[in-house]
Order: sequence, then C-alpha cells, then structure tokens
Amino acid sequence: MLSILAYSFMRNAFIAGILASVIFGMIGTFVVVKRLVFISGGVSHASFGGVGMGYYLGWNPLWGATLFAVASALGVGLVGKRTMQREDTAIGIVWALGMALGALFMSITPGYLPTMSSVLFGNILMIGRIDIYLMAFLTVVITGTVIMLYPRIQGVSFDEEFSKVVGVRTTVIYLFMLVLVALSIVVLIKLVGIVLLIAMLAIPASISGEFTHDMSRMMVLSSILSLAFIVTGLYVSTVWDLPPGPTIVILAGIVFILVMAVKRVSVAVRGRSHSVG
Amino acid sequence: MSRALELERLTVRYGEQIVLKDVSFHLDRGDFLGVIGPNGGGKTTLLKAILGLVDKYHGKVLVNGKPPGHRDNRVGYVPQHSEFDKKFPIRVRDVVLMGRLGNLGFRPFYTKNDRELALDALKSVDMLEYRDRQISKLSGGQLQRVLIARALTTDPRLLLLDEPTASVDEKMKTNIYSLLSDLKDRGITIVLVSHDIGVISSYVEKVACLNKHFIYHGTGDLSPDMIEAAYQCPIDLIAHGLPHRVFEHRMHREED
Repeated sequence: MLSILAYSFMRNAFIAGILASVIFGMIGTFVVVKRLVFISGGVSHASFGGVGMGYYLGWNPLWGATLFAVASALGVGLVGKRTMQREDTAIGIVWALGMALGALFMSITPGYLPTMSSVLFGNILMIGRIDIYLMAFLTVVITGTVIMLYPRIQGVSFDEEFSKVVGVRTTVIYLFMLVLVALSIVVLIKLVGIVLLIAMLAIPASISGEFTHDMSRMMVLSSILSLAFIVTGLYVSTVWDLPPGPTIVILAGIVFILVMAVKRVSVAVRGRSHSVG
Repeated sequence: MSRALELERLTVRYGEQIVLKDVSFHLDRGDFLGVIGPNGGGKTTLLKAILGLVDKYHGKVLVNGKPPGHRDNRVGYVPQHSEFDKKFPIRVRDVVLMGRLGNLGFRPFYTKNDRELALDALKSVDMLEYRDRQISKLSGGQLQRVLIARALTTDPRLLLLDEPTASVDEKMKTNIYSLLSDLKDRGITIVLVSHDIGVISSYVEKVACLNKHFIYHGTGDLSPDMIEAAYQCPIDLIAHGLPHRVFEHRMHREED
C-alpha cells in the first residue's frame, strides 16, 4: 500500500483525500439535514459552465468554477427564500444551463484540453499543489465557521422561522452556508468530479445519521467514513487500474445500501418479535 | 402604557389572494385569546404577522408598542409540531436551548445560565427526564411540550401557539391548558389558534373566529352565528349560557 505513495500524484491525492474528508463530513451533514442535496447537485453541475469558460478565457478553470458555483448557489438560495415552490425549477435550470455552457465553451476552445470526462468524473492526476493549498484553506475556514456558529447553524437547519423570531439573521447564515457548500464543491471537483460530488456529500452524512442523533457527532462520523471511502477507493482503483472518482462513489454507495438494508431488516425483525411477544 | 398587542386593519395578501382582511383587535397584559377558524382561514398567517415573519402587510401591528420582529418584543412562538422533520438529529435539550439563540451575541456556545433556563423550562412542562432524547422518540404531545418549553426560555411577554393540542390526547390537553393558565396568571399574554372548536375550553377567556375576516368576541358568548360566519356553514355546537364551553362537541367525543 505504501509503495503507491512513492508517486507524487498519489501523495497529492491522499493529502487531498484527507482534507476532502473533513469538508465532506461537515458540509455533507449540513447538506443532508437541511435537505440541500438537490441544490448542491445544481450548484455542482452549474460550475461546469465556469470550468468551460475558464478554459475558453485562458484562466485557471478553478476561478470560473468558483464564479459559477457561488453565483448559482446565491441565486437559487434567494429564489428559494422568495418563493418556495420555484426553487426546484431554478435548480433544474441552473443545472442544465451550466452543463450546456460548459460543453459549448469546451468545444469552441482551441488547443489541447483535458477530456470532459475528467471534469465530470474526477481526475486525481489534475490535483496539484495549488489545489491542496486551497483545500487546506477551505478546511480551516469551514471548521472555524462550524465551531463559531454551531448553535446558529443547528437552529437554522432545524427551525429557520423560530431562529428568526429570536433574532438570528437566518438568511445571512443560510446564504453563507450555501456559499461554503459552493466553495467546497469547487475544490472537490478534481477528486470525484462534478457529476459524482453530490454522492459524497450525501452518502457519508446519511449513513452517520443512522447511528447518531447529534449533528456534531454526525459531522465527525461522516468525516471518518469519507476518509475510509476515499482511501480505500484510491487504493482499489490504483491496484485494479480503475477510475478513482467512480470507484470511491461506488464503494460509498455499496456501504450505504448495506447499512440501510441491515437497519430495515433489524427493525422488521424487532417489530415481529414484539408482535409475537 | 402600550398594549400587549394591537392590530389595526391588518390585511395580508399572498399574491392575488387575500389571506387576512381588516383584522383589528387588541390585548392587554395577561389576556388569553383563543382564535378558531377553518384550515386556510389565515390563523397561522395571523401569528406570523405578529411575529414579524410576514414581509408585506397593510395596516398596523404593534407588540408592546413596537413593530413586529423588533428585538425587544419578547414573543414566544410555539409552531405546529406536526410540521417538524422528526428525523432531524437533535436532542430535546438542544431544541429548548434554541430559545436562547438570540442571547448568544458573539459567543459560540450557550452559557451555564442558558442551560439552567432550558432545564427549568423543561421541568415546568414536565419533560425534564426526556432532556437527552432524540426528538423522533417523542410522542406528539411530548414534542408539543418541548416546543412550549423552548418558547418559555425566551422569557416571553407574549406567547403565540399554533394548534397546540392537535393530535394530543385528552389528558395531555388538560395538562397543556393548566400550564397555559399558570403562565397567564404570571402576566404572560397568550394567543392560541386552532381549527378544533373543542380546544377553546373554559381556560380561554376571549374568543374570536377567523376566516379571512376576524370576528372578535371579547369576553362574552361564542354564538353559533359567529362560528357560522367564520366557517360559512351551520354549526350548532355551542351551549348557550355557558361561555366558551363547547358542550355538544364534548358529548360527541364521549359517544365516539
């Protein structure tokens, strides 16, 4: 196992994986309990437009992705605040429009470009030093935010109206959290890809939710689970020569299905023994 | 001194639809108002307007002389417990502590005083032993009491309750009402809304009907005409001469 770390791109991938685990754990918990999985999907796909625009304009695609992700997160978040029933429409539009723009930009950009699939499904070979620094920075910001704002985040997630009544600036907190979700998505694109990202935001947190009823413990537990999925996935993908992003997500998906199945069966068995006894 | 609550010609529209039309009434400290009306009659909107959760409205709303949503208003809110995501990972004590969110300031954590207030509130609703339970493990009536405790930790002068006795058994209803009666005696002004005429029990001293229009009845009888006006269908449930006691409704219950 350690031998594969001799390659610098694998070292980068593992360091990125460790940082990503913390981000997935904390942001994923918020996304799951506040039911933002679909918004996150929209933001993630919208950022593809920014990646394409970045290539076309000759920027680092990361900045284009940041622009598109943050703008779509704030846009959808504000639409949702104004009219609840329009939110899913806005998400769907942002989702497809981002993909269309990305595909268009990449097709009209001259010269050599990474394949579209490496953006959509992740490519650890693309993880460079700057990505590691950005992820480390974001990990610190997210951890700090969660610690400083924990009661408010918990309050806004559980009952936004009540929080507002007692004087919490709920819209500010909500939009700020959406921006953190957007930034997290941007730095994680290279690891698992635009299409697969929401799985890593949703799965570890959902599994944790089956084992703990405390948001802070959920964050810790889903970070640990993310780390396990990423490290195992990276290792398996290297040994069997598989694409890492899909491997990590499939691994997480299998564990998710197993945990849910075991839970349901054990509940059913307990229910039956109750009715017999 | 300003009134505990004062509404003058409050009108609220959602788009084209008028939800509340020219609602006017006032309450003094320690008043207990029960508002009944059909679903969709604007009861929850009325509470939200008082709480400052309705952005656009016409007319006047004053809580202790201040506009709704003002920092000093000290309004305790008990929303409908059936609206909650009961799978949300949160324990009873953390729900109740939310009443102290407004006092956090720049601190990231609740103080010892906050925690004591939360436990006191749980004790007052008889839920102290459930403090470490996850909310999904509570019955409807228990969650209801937790939400009342949460409202109490805000140290409210005005308490607003939305359908507090929905899906709660009779014994628990009585408990909730005697708790509210104690709070009223401590000088807290209470507004309770419900679509269930049966909950407007003898504890409630002022009754009104709401179905877009507000028909305030002061302290007298709740007449069939008023209920008919609110529900727009003939209802003959009220025993005349016994203010606010919904006589036949109770008898129906026993027959069930």
